[in-house]
Amino acid sequence: MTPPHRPSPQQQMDQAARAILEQLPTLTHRGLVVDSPPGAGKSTLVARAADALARSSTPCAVIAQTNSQVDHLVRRFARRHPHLKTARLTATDYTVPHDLQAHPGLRIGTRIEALEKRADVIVGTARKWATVTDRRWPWAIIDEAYQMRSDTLLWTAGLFDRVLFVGDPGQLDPFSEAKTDRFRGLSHDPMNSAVAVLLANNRDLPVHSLPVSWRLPPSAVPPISNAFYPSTPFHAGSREADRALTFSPLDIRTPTDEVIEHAARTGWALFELPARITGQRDAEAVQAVLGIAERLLARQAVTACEEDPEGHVLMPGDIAIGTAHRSQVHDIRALLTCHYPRLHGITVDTANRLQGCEFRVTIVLHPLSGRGDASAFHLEAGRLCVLTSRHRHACIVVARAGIAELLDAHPSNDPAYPGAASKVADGWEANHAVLAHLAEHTVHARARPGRRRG
Amino acid sequence: MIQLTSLLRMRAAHTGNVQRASQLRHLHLSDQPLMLLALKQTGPAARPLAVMLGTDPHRPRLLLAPPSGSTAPMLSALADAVTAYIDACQRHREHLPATSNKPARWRYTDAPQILVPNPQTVQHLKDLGDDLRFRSVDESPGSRAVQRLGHWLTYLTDRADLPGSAALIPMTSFLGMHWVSGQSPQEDEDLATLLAWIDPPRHAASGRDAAHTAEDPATHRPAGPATDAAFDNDHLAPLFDAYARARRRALGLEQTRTLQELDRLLATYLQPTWDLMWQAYTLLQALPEAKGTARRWDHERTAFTDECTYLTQDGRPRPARDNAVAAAVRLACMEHAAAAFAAGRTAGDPFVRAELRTTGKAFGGPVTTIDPEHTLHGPSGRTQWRPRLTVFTSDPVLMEPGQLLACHTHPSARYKICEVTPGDGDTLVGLEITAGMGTMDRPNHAVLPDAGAFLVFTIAPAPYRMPEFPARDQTPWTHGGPPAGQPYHSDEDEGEEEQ
Repeated sequence: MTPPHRPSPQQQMDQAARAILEQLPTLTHRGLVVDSPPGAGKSTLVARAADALARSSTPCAVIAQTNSQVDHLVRRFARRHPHLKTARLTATDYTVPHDLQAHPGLRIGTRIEALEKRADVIVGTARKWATVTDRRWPWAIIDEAYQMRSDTLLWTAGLFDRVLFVGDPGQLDPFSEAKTDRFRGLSHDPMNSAVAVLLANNRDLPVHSLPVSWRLPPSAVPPISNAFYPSTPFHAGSREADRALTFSPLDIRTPTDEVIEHAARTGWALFELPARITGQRDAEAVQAVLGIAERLLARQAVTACEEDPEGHVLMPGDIAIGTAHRSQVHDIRALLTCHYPRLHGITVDTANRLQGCEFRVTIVLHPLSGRGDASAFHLEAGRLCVLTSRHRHACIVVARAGIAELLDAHPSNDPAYPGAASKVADGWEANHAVLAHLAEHTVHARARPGRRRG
Repeated sequence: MIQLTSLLRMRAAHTGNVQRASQLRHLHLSDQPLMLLALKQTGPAARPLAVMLGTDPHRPRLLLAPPSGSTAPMLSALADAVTAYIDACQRHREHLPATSNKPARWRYTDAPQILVPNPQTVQHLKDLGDDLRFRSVDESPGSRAVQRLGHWLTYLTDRADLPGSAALIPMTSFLGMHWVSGQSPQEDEDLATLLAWIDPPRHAASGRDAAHTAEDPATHRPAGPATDAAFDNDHLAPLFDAYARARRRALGLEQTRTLQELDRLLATYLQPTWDLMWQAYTLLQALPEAKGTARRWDHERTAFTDECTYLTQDGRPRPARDNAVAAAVRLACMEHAAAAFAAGRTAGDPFVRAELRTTGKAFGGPVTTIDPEHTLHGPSGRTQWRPRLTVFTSDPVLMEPGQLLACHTHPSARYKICEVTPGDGDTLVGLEITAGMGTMDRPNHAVLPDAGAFLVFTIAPAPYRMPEFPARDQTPWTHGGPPAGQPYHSDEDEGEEEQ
């Protein structure tokens, strides 16, 4: 039950944002960290902070990790903060999207000299910022700082007096294909995320966290918060009644209909196929994923939420299909192009590339589905967290039976090292937690599968 | 990269015979490598028991540490042997003329190459290096040489972390690059059984049978550095006890006799592995070198020359832990070395390309059409010559338009994917040549393939530029600020571009 005087989500959020923004101009520390759960208004905060900082001193540098993240931020500045003179610092071999090129208020340049004099805010990738030298500015904001490798931070940290770090601690940690054991336990392990190294070397830095997820529906917040954000719990910004997913009624009910109806009611569904070791390429699972997407569109699903209280007919662009491997993305896309013309416009991508995106409904091919073993890659908490936290209404997971047994057969046995610790939850534990939650939402592909192999 | 290897492993397990994973050698093999087998005492972290080393297969040298007491004389002898080998590499130097981005330099014409049986021995040498390089230099004879040995061991084991380096190579990994056996990767770390699979004795029915025979505990000798527990109990322990007794009673003669016996015992113990090492060496030497191998060895010699220069100019030991900047530089070097080695192997070895084709990181097929005259207008309005071609492939194409590709026939040429048209089980890929074809005025027609030619395209390696890290004393506050103490020369020389 809600206590009587508990502030509304909006009030909580305003309070948190105000605390951060008010602290910025008078900050005595050299940095400030903001942990943000999925869909908590991270971009809004970055834009507001840049706006506030640009008032006292310009230019304010904004650093993101990928070009699409930078474009996304620039778009937000152009739309919501039109009074700011925004500049986009870009590499020569990257083509900025046409809508940004055509935007009159926006300056795009490949050299800092051409931008720094007149801009209030300069946005670019960390890699591009690394080419800037011999400057010293009072403030920078680093977005998606948990996705930034700490060696990347070395390139740019010297340019700024103070830095605001904003990021989602539950997402995928940076990785390298090199053998990196020799760095383990160093407080400046170049493989750790920028924030982990920052906090290991500056233990007294203030750390704030955003308390509310505006994206995730109330049904999704408890399992995601418990499994992936044990140290920074958060609440849902919407109420049960705000979010609805409805269909036109139907006479024939296939297991697929049962799945989407269950997901519409509860926000979650696990479509369980009979146990089988298939490896990465599981034709049956891929068919199931596409079948679910097709059913959602064929039955004219209507979503209603705070932003669209009147209801919105679900379009292919509102749906994402997430997987662990590129080859699975390829299989699904190939099948979609050839055999599912109605599904054109659906986003199909890996967890790495879905980071930061938002959809109304997501369909997830479970990373451990059909596998004979559970490697560190497949157990990574961030991967499952990204896949299960992109949706506003419902998340439907497709998996082969037997994942719980697989997990039990492969307990994580990675050695533990002293030193800077990642905030990411333990993958094995998080996988079990999500699975336990999904168990209550399981729909079997066949009513009662005759035989099971474990 | 795992699919083809797994298939070959299953095939090897099924047939009982080893499968070829590559027919070209990608690491340089010296004419005179220093073969080195090490045994350590069970118990202490890095106390050596014996080292067998040498450059002559018929005359191995055994250095023995006494079971208790000082190891200094043995380490000193080891230091002399290794240093003599390394010094021999510094006999001749070659002059390198200045290039557009580098001044004229010189480097040694040779570099040390140490071959050890397995990765565990590399780790043992690393531990030994960590121990020895910080030892203080005092009046006692050999103490400077021992410290220097520590320095070289650290240098060599650091090099061993870099893919494509040939300064210190574990033999089992080297063999594993060329042959896939039917046993598990863990079993492959045993030189005797792996070599039995690869090169079975003539009377053996199959590689698997030979490996079974080689596994016989009565004759099998682990290649070190750890000794067999049964060997410890049955053979070493009595001699150790005898030595300790003699030492307590100060019986000099008895001590020497025990040491002689230990020497004989360990020489016999190590001899089979020593012979196997040379057998493996002969096998590997018979393989033809891949194209990039000589260039990689050039880089090895450059690194060696730089290390020698450092030793004469500064010579302080490498720090026990990398500071923030050094760690980042080191990681960048490792990532670059891995990428460069992978790219070099892809360009030079059809087996590697075949493996990439199975995972969608490459595709191959005949050229169906070619439009050599195709041009387009660049952003500045200039006409650019961009010949186009279409490739028909039945490989899975996981790449998207815009991806830059390389082709083994012309390593400097680059191809951009314009469109991917999936058909029924096969794919048409439209490509545009973006580099390597010269200009319209001075075209390089050799790059333009003929229709019908079978080509394999792989993802082009990203152009590499060593990122500019701050100087050590400019370490930013986010990484704890500048570290205390004297700066150690950074590893920046290792950032050699291998293009």
